[in-house]
Amino acid sequence: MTPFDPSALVAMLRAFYPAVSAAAFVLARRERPEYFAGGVIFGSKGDKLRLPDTREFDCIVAAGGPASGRSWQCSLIDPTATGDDDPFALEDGPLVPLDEDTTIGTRSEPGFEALVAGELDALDHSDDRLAAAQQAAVEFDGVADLEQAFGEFIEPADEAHGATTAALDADPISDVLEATADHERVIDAALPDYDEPEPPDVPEPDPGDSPDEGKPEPPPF
Amino acid sequence: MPDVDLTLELTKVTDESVPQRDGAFKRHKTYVFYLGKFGPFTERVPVDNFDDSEFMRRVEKLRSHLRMVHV
Repeated sequence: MTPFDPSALVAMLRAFYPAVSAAAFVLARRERPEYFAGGVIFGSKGDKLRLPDTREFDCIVAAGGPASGRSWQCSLIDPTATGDDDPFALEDGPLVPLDEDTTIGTRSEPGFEALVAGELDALDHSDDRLAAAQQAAVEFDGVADLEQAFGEFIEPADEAHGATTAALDADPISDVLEATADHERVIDAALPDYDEPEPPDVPEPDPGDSPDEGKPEPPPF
Repeated sequence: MPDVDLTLELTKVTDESVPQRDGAFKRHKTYVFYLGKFGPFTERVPVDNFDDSEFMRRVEKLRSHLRMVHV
């Protein structure tokens, strides 16, 4: 029997059967049986080939799709494939299962102390900088300017505030209440009924003659 | 990329006469060949209506598709 070469089969199919279909596959099997090496066509879509040595090949890409998306191929179907060629295989992550035999205890190495010591080392010589800043604050020499600004702005404002407060104190709240009570009498004066004479009626205007007066009647429909 | 070796190597050429249902005989020339490492290919070329160049046309078509597959 003629040996089977998948490449020769695909080249023959593409060269002489450009219309990819199950019917063309059957036609090629009948017209050129040597390329099929005694294999038989099977599958629900008629797109697979089983050789006498039980190997099976998928020979039409997207056999169930539209004709424009089909193409010839000869891909070995491996029933024992483990999915190593999975294009969407997951990568190994950073987490691994815990070993139940492993006992998690306290850490023997002084990691935290070393971390704190390292941070404290970075603060060395900071006392000198703090002392220098404190000295500058103690030796502040802007007292005269501060006194002058206080006398120029704060004291006049304080005096004005005191005068306003004294004026308010001179106006007792009892006078305000008395004046408010007098308002009620003024407002009540507007409550009596309206007794002025009514204004004369305005005569109704004459609308004049109708524009349709004197025109002939429209013909009946 | 180096070109794929598709040298024609004929291994068997036979003349065949296949009887038809009307009693006539249809004559073929059967070529069994390799193209480089690919094959065997088997092509039957009718000798009544085609000249010998039909075989080489088929070989070139096979070569072009083999190049597309294996480039």
